[in-house]
Amino acid sequence: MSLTKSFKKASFSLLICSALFSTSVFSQTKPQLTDPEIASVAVTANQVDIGNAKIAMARSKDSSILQFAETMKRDHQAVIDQAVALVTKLKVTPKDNPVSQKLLADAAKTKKMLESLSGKAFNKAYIDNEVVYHKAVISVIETVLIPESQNAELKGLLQKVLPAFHAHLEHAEMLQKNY
Amino acid sequence: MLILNMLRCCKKIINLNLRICLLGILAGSFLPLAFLNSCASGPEKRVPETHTIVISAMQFSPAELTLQRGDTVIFLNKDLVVHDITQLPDKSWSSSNLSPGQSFRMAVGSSTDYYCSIHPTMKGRLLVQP
Repeated sequence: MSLTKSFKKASFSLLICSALFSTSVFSQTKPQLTDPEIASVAVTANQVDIGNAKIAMARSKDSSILQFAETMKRDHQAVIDQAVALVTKLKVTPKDNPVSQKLLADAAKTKKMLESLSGKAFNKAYIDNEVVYHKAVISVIETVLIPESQNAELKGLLQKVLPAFHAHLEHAEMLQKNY
Repeated sequence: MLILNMLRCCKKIINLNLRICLLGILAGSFLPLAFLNSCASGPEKRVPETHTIVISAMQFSPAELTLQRGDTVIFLNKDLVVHDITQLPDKSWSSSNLSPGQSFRMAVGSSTDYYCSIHPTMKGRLLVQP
Protein backbone atom coordinates (compact mmCIF):
# COMPACT_ATOMS: atom_id res chain seq x y z
CA MET A 1 0.00 0.00 0.00
CA SER A 2 1.43 3.39 -0.97
CA LEU A 3 2.10 6.09 1.61
CA THR A 4 -0.66 8.26 0.11
CA LYS A 5 -3.18 5.45 0.37
CA SER A 6 -2.17 4.74 3.95
CA PHE A 7 -2.49 8.41 4.79
CA LYS A 8 -5.92 8.63 3.21
CA LYS A 9 -7.08 5.52 5.02
CA ALA A 10 -5.75 6.86 8.33
CA SER A 11 -7.42 10.23 7.71
CA PHE A 12 -10.71 8.55 7.01
CA SER A 13 -10.46 6.46 10.18
CA LEU A 14 -9.76 9.63 12.15
CA LEU A 15 -12.77 11.29 10.57
CA ILE A 16 -14.98 8.34 11.50
CA CYS A 17 -13.69 8.51 15.08
CA SER A 18 -14.31 12.23 15.09
CA ALA A 19 -17.91 11.70 13.98
CA LEU A 20 -18.43 9.03 16.63
CA PHE A 21 -16.83 11.28 19.22
CA SER A 22 -19.14 14.07 18.15
CA THR A 23 -22.07 11.77 18.82
CA SER A 24 -20.81 10.97 22.28
CA VAL A 25 -20.24 14.68 22.92
CA PHE A 26 -23.91 15.25 22.01
CA SER A 27 -25.07 12.61 24.43
CA GLN A 28 -22.64 13.49 27.24
CA THR A 29 -23.12 17.25 27.32
CA LYS A 30 -26.75 17.18 26.15
CA PRO A 31 -26.93 20.61 24.56
CA GLN A 32 -30.09 22.45 25.52
CA LEU A 33 -31.81 23.42 22.29
CA THR A 34 -34.85 25.57 21.63
CA ASP A 35 -37.38 24.61 18.96
CA PRO A 36 -35.90 27.04 16.38
CA GLU A 37 -32.45 25.51 17.05
CA ILE A 38 -33.85 21.97 16.76
CA ALA A 39 -35.41 22.91 13.41
CA SER A 40 -32.00 24.19 12.28
CA VAL A 41 -30.25 20.95 13.32
CA ALA A 42 -32.90 18.84 11.56
CA VAL A 43 -32.60 20.76 8.29
CA THR A 44 -28.77 20.91 8.46
CA ALA A 45 -28.45 17.16 9.14
CA ASN A 46 -30.49 16.42 6.02
CA GLN A 47 -28.64 18.99 3.91
CA VAL A 48 -25.30 17.43 4.88
CA ASP A 49 -26.36 14.01 3.62
CA ILE A 50 -27.72 15.51 0.40
CA GLY A 51 -24.29 17.11 -0.06
CA ASN A 52 -22.59 13.73 0.39
CA ALA A 53 -25.03 12.13 -2.07
CA LYS A 54 -24.24 14.77 -4.69
CA ILE A 55 -20.52 14.05 -4.35
CA ALA A 56 -21.22 10.32 -4.80
CA MET A 57 -23.38 10.96 -7.86
CA ALA A 58 -20.56 12.97 -9.41
CA ARG A 59 -17.67 10.65 -8.52
CA SER A 60 -18.96 7.06 -8.48
CA LYS A 61 -19.77 4.81 -11.40
CA ASP A 62 -21.07 1.96 -9.23
CA SER A 63 -24.79 1.37 -9.84
CA SER A 64 -25.54 0.39 -6.21
CA ILE A 65 -23.75 3.47 -4.87
CA LEU A 66 -25.47 5.70 -7.42
CA GLN A 67 -28.89 4.29 -6.57
CA PHE A 68 -28.27 4.67 -2.83
CA ALA A 69 -27.06 8.26 -3.32
CA GLU A 70 -30.14 9.07 -5.41
CA THR A 71 -32.36 7.68 -2.63
CA MET A 72 -30.51 9.74 0.02
CA LYS A 73 -30.87 12.90 -2.04
CA ARG A 74 -34.60 12.34 -2.64
CA ASP A 75 -35.53 11.14 0.86
CA HIS A 76 -33.59 13.81 2.77
CA GLN A 77 -35.04 16.50 0.51
CA ALA A 78 -38.52 15.15 1.33
CA VAL A 79 -37.72 15.46 5.04
CA ILE A 80 -36.43 19.03 4.55
CA ASP A 81 -39.62 19.91 2.65
CA GLN A 82 -41.72 18.59 5.54
CA ALA A 83 -39.62 20.47 8.10
CA VAL A 84 -39.79 23.72 6.13
CA ALA A 85 -43.57 23.36 5.74
CA LEU A 86 -43.91 22.83 9.48
CA VAL A 87 -41.71 25.75 10.60
CA THR A 88 -43.52 27.98 8.10
CA LYS A 89 -46.84 26.90 9.58
CA LEU A 90 -45.56 27.40 13.13
CA LYS A 91 -43.91 30.72 12.16
CA VAL A 92 -40.60 29.48 13.55
CA THR A 93 -37.31 30.65 12.04
CA PRO A 94 -34.57 27.98 12.29
CA LYS A 95 -31.77 29.36 14.46
CA ASP A 96 -28.09 28.58 14.06
CA ASN A 97 -26.49 26.85 17.07
CA PRO A 98 -23.37 24.87 18.08
CA VAL A 99 -24.85 21.50 17.03
CA SER A 100 -25.66 22.72 13.51
CA GLN A 101 -22.22 24.34 13.31
CA LYS A 102 -20.54 21.08 14.36
CA LEU A 103 -22.51 19.16 11.73
CA LEU A 104 -21.39 21.62 9.04
CA ALA A 105 -17.75 21.59 10.20
CA ASP A 106 -17.66 17.77 10.10
CA ALA A 107 -19.39 17.82 6.71
CA ALA A 108 -16.66 20.06 5.30
CA LYS A 109 -13.99 17.58 6.44
CA THR A 110 -15.95 14.65 4.98
CA LYS A 111 -16.40 16.49 1.67
CA LYS A 112 -12.67 17.13 1.45
CA MET A 113 -11.87 13.51 2.22
CA LEU A 114 -14.40 12.12 -0.28
CA GLU A 115 -13.24 14.44 -3.02
CA SER A 116 -9.70 13.15 -2.61
CA LEU A 117 -10.78 9.60 -3.47
CA SER A 118 -11.97 7.79 -6.56
CA GLY A 119 -13.03 4.34 -7.76
CA LYS A 120 -13.37 1.54 -5.21
CA ALA A 121 -11.72 3.61 -2.47
CA PHE A 122 -14.34 6.32 -2.95
CA ASN A 123 -17.24 3.84 -2.92
CA LYS A 124 -16.00 2.30 0.31
CA ALA A 125 -15.34 5.65 1.98
CA TYR A 126 -18.76 6.99 0.96
CA ILE A 127 -20.73 4.02 2.20
CA ASP A 128 -18.66 3.74 5.40
CA ASN A 129 -19.37 7.39 6.10
CA GLU A 130 -23.09 6.88 5.43
CA VAL A 131 -23.20 4.13 8.06
CA VAL A 132 -21.39 6.28 10.63
CA TYR A 133 -23.32 9.43 9.76
CA HIS A 134 -26.76 7.81 9.99
CA LYS A 135 -25.86 6.20 13.32
CA ALA A 136 -24.74 9.60 14.64
CA VAL A 137 -27.84 11.45 13.36
CA ILE A 138 -30.22 8.77 14.70
CA SER A 139 -28.54 9.11 18.08
CA VAL A 140 -28.87 12.92 18.05
CA ILE A 141 -32.55 12.73 17.02
CA GLU A 142 -33.36 10.14 19.69
CA THR A 143 -31.36 11.57 22.59
CA VAL A 144 -31.43 15.32 21.94
CA LEU A 145 -33.91 16.55 19.35
CA ILE A 146 -37.00 14.53 20.28
CA PRO A 147 -36.65 14.83 24.08
CA GLU A 148 -35.95 18.57 23.89
CA SER A 149 -38.52 19.68 21.35
CA GLN A 150 -41.36 21.58 23.01
CA ASN A 151 -43.82 21.81 20.14
CA ALA A 152 -45.84 18.61 19.71
CA GLU A 153 -45.91 18.86 15.91
CA LEU A 154 -42.14 19.32 15.73
CA LYS A 155 -41.65 16.35 18.06
CA GLY A 156 -44.11 14.35 15.94
CA LEU A 157 -42.25 15.12 12.72
CA LEU A 158 -38.93 14.07 14.27
CA GLN A 159 -40.51 10.79 15.40
CA LYS A 160 -41.98 10.31 11.94
CA VAL A 161 -38.62 10.69 10.15
CA LEU A 162 -36.77 8.23 12.39
CA PRO A 163 -37.91 5.07 10.52
CA ALA A 164 -36.49 6.52 7.29
CA PHE A 165 -33.11 7.11 8.94
CA HIS A 166 -33.12 3.56 10.34
CA ALA A 167 -33.99 2.16 6.89
CA HIS A 168 -31.15 4.20 5.34
CA LEU A 169 -28.74 2.84 7.95
CA GLU A 170 -29.81 -0.77 7.26
CA HIS A 171 -29.48 -0.17 3.51
CA ALA A 172 -26.00 1.34 3.94
CA GLU A 173 -24.89 -1.56 6.18
CA MET A 174 -26.21 -4.00 3.56
CA LEU A 175 -24.14 -2.30 0.84
CA GLN A 176 -21.11 -1.92 3.11
CA LYS A 177 -20.57 -5.70 3.02
CA ASN A 178 -19.81 -5.46 -0.72
CA TYR A 179 -17.07 -2.82 -0.49
CA MET B 1 -134.22 -36.63 -5.19
CA LEU B 2 -132.00 -39.14 -6.86
CA ILE B 3 -131.23 -36.67 -9.60
CA LEU B 4 -130.44 -34.01 -7.06
CA ASN B 5 -128.02 -36.35 -5.26
CA MET B 6 -126.39 -37.27 -8.55
CA LEU B 7 -125.93 -33.58 -9.41
CA ARG B 8 -124.30 -32.85 -5.99
CA CYS B 9 -121.98 -35.81 -6.48
CA CYS B 10 -121.00 -34.59 -9.92
CA LYS B 11 -120.27 -31.10 -8.51
CA LYS B 12 -118.00 -32.59 -5.83
CA ILE B 13 -116.12 -34.61 -8.42
CA ILE B 14 -115.71 -31.55 -10.63
CA ASN B 15 -114.48 -29.47 -7.68
CA LEU B 16 -111.99 -32.17 -6.74
CA ASN B 17 -110.78 -32.47 -10.31
CA LEU B 18 -110.44 -28.73 -10.54
CA ARG B 19 -108.32 -28.68 -7.38
CA ILE B 20 -106.15 -31.53 -8.64
CA CYS B 21 -105.82 -29.78 -11.94
CA LEU B 22 -104.82 -26.51 -10.29
CA LEU B 23 -102.28 -28.32 -8.12
CA GLY B 24 -100.91 -29.97 -11.25
CA ILE B 25 -100.57 -26.64 -13.01
CA LEU B 26 -98.86 -25.11 -10.01
CA ALA B 27 -96.53 -28.06 -9.63
CA GLY B 28 -95.84 -28.04 -13.35
CA SER B 29 -94.93 -24.37 -13.18
CA PHE B 30 -92.62 -24.52 -10.18
CA LEU B 31 -90.85 -27.81 -10.70
CA PRO B 32 -88.89 -26.70 -13.80
CA LEU B 33 -87.96 -23.47 -11.99
CA ALA B 34 -86.78 -25.42 -8.97
CA PHE B 35 -84.80 -27.70 -11.27
CA LEU B 36 -83.19 -24.79 -13.08
CA ASN B 37 -82.43 -23.11 -9.80
CA SER B 38 -80.70 -26.20 -8.43
CA CYS B 39 -78.63 -26.46 -11.63
CA ALA B 40 -77.52 -22.79 -11.50
CA SER B 41 -76.41 -22.70 -7.86
CA GLY B 42 -73.79 -25.51 -8.31
CA PRO B 43 -70.47 -24.55 -6.64
CA GLU B 44 -70.98 -21.02 -5.19
CA LYS B 45 -69.20 -18.23 -7.06
CA ARG B 46 -66.99 -16.00 -4.80
CA VAL B 47 -66.91 -12.28 -5.34
CA PRO B 48 -63.25 -11.10 -5.52
CA GLU B 49 -62.21 -8.91 -2.61
CA THR B 50 -60.08 -5.78 -2.50
CA HIS B 51 -57.35 -5.54 0.13
CA THR B 52 -55.32 -2.48 1.09
CA ILE B 53 -51.65 -2.56 2.09
CA VAL B 54 -50.55 0.69 3.69
CA ILE B 55 -46.95 1.87 3.31
CA SER B 56 -46.02 3.81 6.41
CA ALA B 57 -42.92 4.28 8.61
CA MET B 58 -40.85 2.41 6.00
CA GLN B 59 -43.00 -0.74 6.28
CA PHE B 60 -45.69 -2.58 4.35
CA SER B 61 -48.68 -3.17 6.60
CA PRO B 62 -49.67 -5.95 6.70
CA ALA B 63 -46.27 -7.28 5.60
CA GLU B 64 -47.84 -10.67 4.84
CA LEU B 65 -51.33 -10.88 3.33
CA THR B 66 -53.32 -14.07 2.62
CA LEU B 67 -55.87 -13.71 -0.18
CA GLN B 68 -57.71 -15.60 -2.93
CA ARG B 69 -56.74 -15.84 -6.59
CA GLY B 70 -58.28 -12.90 -8.47
CA ASP B 71 -58.46 -10.61 -5.43
CA THR B 72 -57.18 -7.07 -5.85
CA VAL B 73 -54.52 -5.40 -3.74
CA ILE B 74 -54.13 -1.65 -3.40
CA PHE B 75 -50.77 -0.38 -2.11
CA LEU B 76 -51.29 3.05 -0.56
CA ASN B 77 -48.22 5.19 0.21
CA LYS B 78 -48.88 7.06 3.44
CA ASP B 79 -45.18 7.58 4.13
CA LEU B 80 -43.02 10.72 3.95
CA VAL B 81 -40.94 9.46 1.04
CA VAL B 82 -41.31 7.86 -2.41
CA HIS B 83 -41.63 4.06 -2.58
CA ASP B 84 -42.29 1.40 -5.20
CA ILE B 85 -43.44 -2.23 -5.21
CA THR B 86 -41.25 -4.69 -7.10
CA GLN B 87 -41.63 -8.46 -7.43
CA LEU B 88 -39.00 -10.68 -5.83
CA PRO B 89 -36.74 -12.40 -6.67
CA ASP B 90 -36.60 -11.68 -10.43
CA LYS B 91 -38.32 -8.26 -10.58
CA SER B 92 -40.87 -9.63 -13.08
CA TRP B 93 -43.22 -6.72 -12.34
CA SER B 94 -42.94 -3.37 -10.65
CA SER B 95 -45.09 -0.37 -9.90
CA SER B 96 -44.00 3.09 -10.88
CA ASN B 97 -42.59 5.31 -8.12
CA LEU B 98 -45.35 6.19 -5.68
CA SER B 99 -45.13 9.64 -4.14
CA PRO B 100 -46.77 10.18 -0.74
CA GLY B 101 -50.54 9.87 -1.19
CA GLN B 102 -50.32 7.82 -4.40
CA SER B 103 -51.41 4.19 -4.76
CA PHE B 104 -50.83 1.14 -6.96
CA ARG B 105 -53.57 -1.38 -7.75
CA MET B 106 -53.06 -4.94 -9.01
CA ALA B 107 -55.00 -8.20 -9.38
CA VAL B 108 -53.20 -11.09 -7.74
CA GLY B 109 -52.86 -14.34 -9.66
CA SER B 110 -50.34 -16.22 -7.56
CA SER B 111 -48.30 -16.04 -4.36
CA THR B 112 -45.32 -13.74 -4.53
CA ASP B 113 -42.72 -11.89 -2.51
CA TYR B 114 -42.07 -8.21 -3.16
CA TYR B 115 -39.97 -5.33 -1.88
CA CYS B 116 -39.36 -1.62 -2.32
CA SER B 117 -36.48 -1.37 -4.79
CA ILE B 118 -35.72 2.14 -3.49
CA HIS B 119 -35.44 0.91 0.11
CA PRO B 120 -34.46 -2.77 -0.26
CA THR B 121 -34.88 -3.56 3.43
CA MET B 122 -38.68 -3.09 3.06
CA LYS B 123 -40.21 -6.46 2.15
CA GLY B 124 -43.65 -8.06 1.91
CA ARG B 125 -45.43 -11.24 0.84
CA LEU B 126 -48.75 -12.07 -0.87
CA LEU B 127 -50.00 -15.59 -0.17
CA VAL B 128 -52.70 -16.89 -2.52
CA GLN B 129 -54.76 -19.67 -0.93
CA PRO B 130 -54.97 -22.81 -3.10
